[in-house]
Amino acid sequence: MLLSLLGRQRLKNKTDLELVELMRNRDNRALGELFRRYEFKIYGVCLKYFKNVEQAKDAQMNLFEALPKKVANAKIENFGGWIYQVTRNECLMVLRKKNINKVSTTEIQLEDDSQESLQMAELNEKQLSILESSIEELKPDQKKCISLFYLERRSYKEIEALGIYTLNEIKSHIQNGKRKLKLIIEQKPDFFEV
Amino acid sequence: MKFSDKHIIDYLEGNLSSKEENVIERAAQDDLFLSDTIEGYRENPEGLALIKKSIKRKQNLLKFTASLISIGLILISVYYFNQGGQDSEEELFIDSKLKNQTNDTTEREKIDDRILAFKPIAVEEQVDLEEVKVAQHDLNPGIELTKDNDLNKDSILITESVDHQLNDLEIETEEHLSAWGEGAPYTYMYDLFVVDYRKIKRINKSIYYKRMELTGISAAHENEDNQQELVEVEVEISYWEYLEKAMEQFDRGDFTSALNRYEIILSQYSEDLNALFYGGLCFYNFGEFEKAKERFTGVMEINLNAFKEEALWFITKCEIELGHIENARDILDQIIVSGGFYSEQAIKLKKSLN
Repeated sequence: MLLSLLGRQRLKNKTDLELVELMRNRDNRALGELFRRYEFKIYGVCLKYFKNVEQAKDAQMNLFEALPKKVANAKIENFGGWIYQVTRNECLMVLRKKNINKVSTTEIQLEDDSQESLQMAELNEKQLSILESSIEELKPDQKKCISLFYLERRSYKEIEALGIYTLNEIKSHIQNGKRKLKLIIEQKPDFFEV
Repeated sequence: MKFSDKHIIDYLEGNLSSKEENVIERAAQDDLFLSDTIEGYRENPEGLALIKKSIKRKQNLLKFTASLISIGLILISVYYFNQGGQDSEEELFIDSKLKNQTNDTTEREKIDDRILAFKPIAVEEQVDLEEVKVAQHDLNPGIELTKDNDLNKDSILITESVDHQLNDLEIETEEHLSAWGEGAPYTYMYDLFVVDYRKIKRINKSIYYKRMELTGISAAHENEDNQQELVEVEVEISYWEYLEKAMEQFDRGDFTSALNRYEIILSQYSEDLNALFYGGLCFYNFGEFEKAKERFTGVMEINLNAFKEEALWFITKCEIELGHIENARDILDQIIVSGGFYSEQAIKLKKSLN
């Protein structure tokens, strides 16, 4: 028991990728440690797709059972991004088989697009000024929500409390506004000059 | 930015400030894994209740296991002392010469009452032995990890006059200097770094310690009526063999027996680095942080490069436990600037103190 506790302590200090390497060498404790690190988020994603606690639990367990095999054949640089894509694809595959929702295979993405975003924190002053003028070009609702969320750092709840938009509308305006903003900025070469 | 499960749960349950909420929401805008997780739990609160229960159950199990181990260690110690070592002659008795001479003798080492009174702190608060081993192998490369100790047969008795001053020792191995002083010859026992005093012209020859012996009847036929036949005997044994047993006890978590041995060593070799460092770790595990700090400081004061980085790290941890946060910060600065094995952990620890 003591050894197992000490072993766990040793694994706790390892990075995800080190644990992946151990898993490839058939170390089941490494799988256990990865499970511990990601079970909360994976279960959350499964809940989003299945909207049922039991089905979500089954999907989560099936995923972890299949993980050693999947890990063996995959090139993984960011385990968090990779496991998210695997989880999402597994959920969509199961749903498609069960035909619960008419899920198109086109929804199954193989590329990790989770990092595609505007990293506002890394912008310099000139870029910020271009960004501000670009925000002006957005539709009024998008402009309002983007400004409140990113510039004034208001939470969804605070924006909702203003009584203008519902939570879903806020999220939608922010998402669409971001996408649109990206397109606007791509038309402005000054933004990309260092 | 990575958020802990607990932080996400706090967000979902509305326990964060508006500013903190905005931070997590902005992160979720750029991180689909996080946003899907939040959405999943938000739309299925019963799922959140279930996973919270599951996490709590696992934490309780871990705490329960840790308490079981602590109780187990105490029971084992009590058992040894109550039984008089009747069933454990082999384990307690490593001096083969003596064993051959006294076949019908069972014995156990006399443990200082003061040490017997110490109770270990919670397992998760104790020194992480695996981490110590990794650090030591990183700091002192060149010898592969060994599963079993294979050194006890090489013990050497050195017979010269008594001299406890390690600063005056002659070192037979290649000498090298570092910021910490001369490098000490070393080896590993039970994967734990030890200064190899067999390679140092150390003056004294052996360790004298007291043990209780039960004479006249084979251990297999002992019973309570024979308890009065226990006699206290002073025994002489080579330092190396005595240390080997202490390291074995330390490695398997018997900090009471190990500390007793380290204290006996220090009473005869006041600057013994092995006993100072591992004795310090035992004191730490008993929550005796002042004593532990004293031992680690002893390590730092000896001009022989062994255990220095580890001792400095554990002095910091003792200072924190003793509430001397400013001292801890100063030492952490030293560790960070040194860029050694513990510097990364020192940065994290320092941040957590702010």
